[in-house]
Amino acid sequence: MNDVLAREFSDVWVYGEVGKVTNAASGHCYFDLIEDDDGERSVLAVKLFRGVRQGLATKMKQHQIDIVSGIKVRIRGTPDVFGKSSSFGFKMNDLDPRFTLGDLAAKREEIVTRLKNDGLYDRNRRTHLPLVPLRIGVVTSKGTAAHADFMKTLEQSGIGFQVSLCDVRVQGDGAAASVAAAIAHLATRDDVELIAVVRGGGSKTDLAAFDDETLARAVALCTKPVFTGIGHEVDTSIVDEVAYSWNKTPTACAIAIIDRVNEFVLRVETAAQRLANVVLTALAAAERRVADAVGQLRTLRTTVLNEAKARIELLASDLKGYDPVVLMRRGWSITHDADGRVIKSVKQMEKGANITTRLADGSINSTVNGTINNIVTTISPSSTTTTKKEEH
Amino acid sequence: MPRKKDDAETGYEEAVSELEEILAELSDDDIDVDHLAERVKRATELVKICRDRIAAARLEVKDIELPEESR
Repeated sequence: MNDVLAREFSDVWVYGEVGKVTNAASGHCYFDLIEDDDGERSVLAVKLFRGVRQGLATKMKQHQIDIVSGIKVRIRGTPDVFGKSSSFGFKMNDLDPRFTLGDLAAKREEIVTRLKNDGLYDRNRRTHLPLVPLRIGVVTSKGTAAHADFMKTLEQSGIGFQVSLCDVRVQGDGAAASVAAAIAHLATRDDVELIAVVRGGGSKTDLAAFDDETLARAVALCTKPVFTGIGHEVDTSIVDEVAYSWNKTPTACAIAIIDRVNEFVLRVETAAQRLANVVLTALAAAERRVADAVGQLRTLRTTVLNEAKARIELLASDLKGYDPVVLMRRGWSITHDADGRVIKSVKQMEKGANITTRLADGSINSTVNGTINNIVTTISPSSTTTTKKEEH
Repeated sequence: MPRKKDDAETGYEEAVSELEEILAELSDDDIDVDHLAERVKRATELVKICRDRIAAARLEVKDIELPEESR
């Protein structure tokens, strides 16, 4: 029978959705290829032997395709009947990657359109991102390199993050539901301000969970901002598209969170620097004002002293006019009686009295021969004015 | 004068906003020296609050078990 099938149906192309997949220890892969035609479901058992699989590995890696449940494939091969039970199957020998990729893209487009129509596409980006998100909910598969990279980057930042970690499946059956449940739970917790969904790199089909509509809706409807770090360098998943912030790797996701905190740190440090400048400027201004005041006081003191000095000198100069020695030099004299009393009136004198007359350069001793009464109104060394004269 | 809160209640947003308000106020050349000293003291407290909360604690990690109904 196999000879007939090989002769009549060699190298035929068939397509359908991959159902259950079994990867045997031998390296062979067995999977169901399902066709669902308006409820009429047909299943073809496909065998992908190790040798063929190895031959296709480069092509599949290049297009990031794995045989996983849920994807659509167009494969080439030969139908055959196998084993004692003569079960009918299909030996696969090639795969058309464009069919799978085209189907993924088309599915994705449909989901994105539905999310947009339901107003969910931008919903998560409208949630409030805290100024300093320190309490992080992390959804990841614990123990993976992605988990380690993410945590290491957070730790190296030196920022006191508080991480609430949900260990989930990020690949295979149930992965999307598991991630969605973790997001929904973390969103209810008071000790979580931001949710990071973190996963390492993989093929497009490995990352199929992140194109799942249910998960995308969970992210969109999450009341806290969701940051993704799902390791694919080229494309984004639907979850990335609806997330608050999408990042190419777990490390980049951690850096995006750290950057948010550091924006605040920079704002505070700039303010601190400005504060220091304000204080320094105020101190400098105060010092200038004190210096100006001291300068004004010095000037004032010098002026007052100079004025005082000038007045003292003027007074001294005036006083010189009253010095008896000066007056004597100008011709004035002082006459004392024998007892040393200054003679101020002729009435103090009697004829025969001894008197001493002091001049600037010495004294004259005389004896009074007589006195003359004069009434003097103005007198000077060189002239006398007499209004009345009387001799004795 | 901006409202004054207990440090424990002062969130980051309020702290940094108050700090920036004070700086705007201090940029006025005619500010009274006594008032300046009081405002600088408050601003310094706010800078300390912001710095301490970020840098003081070490990274903490706790594992979260999803509730039965979420699995």
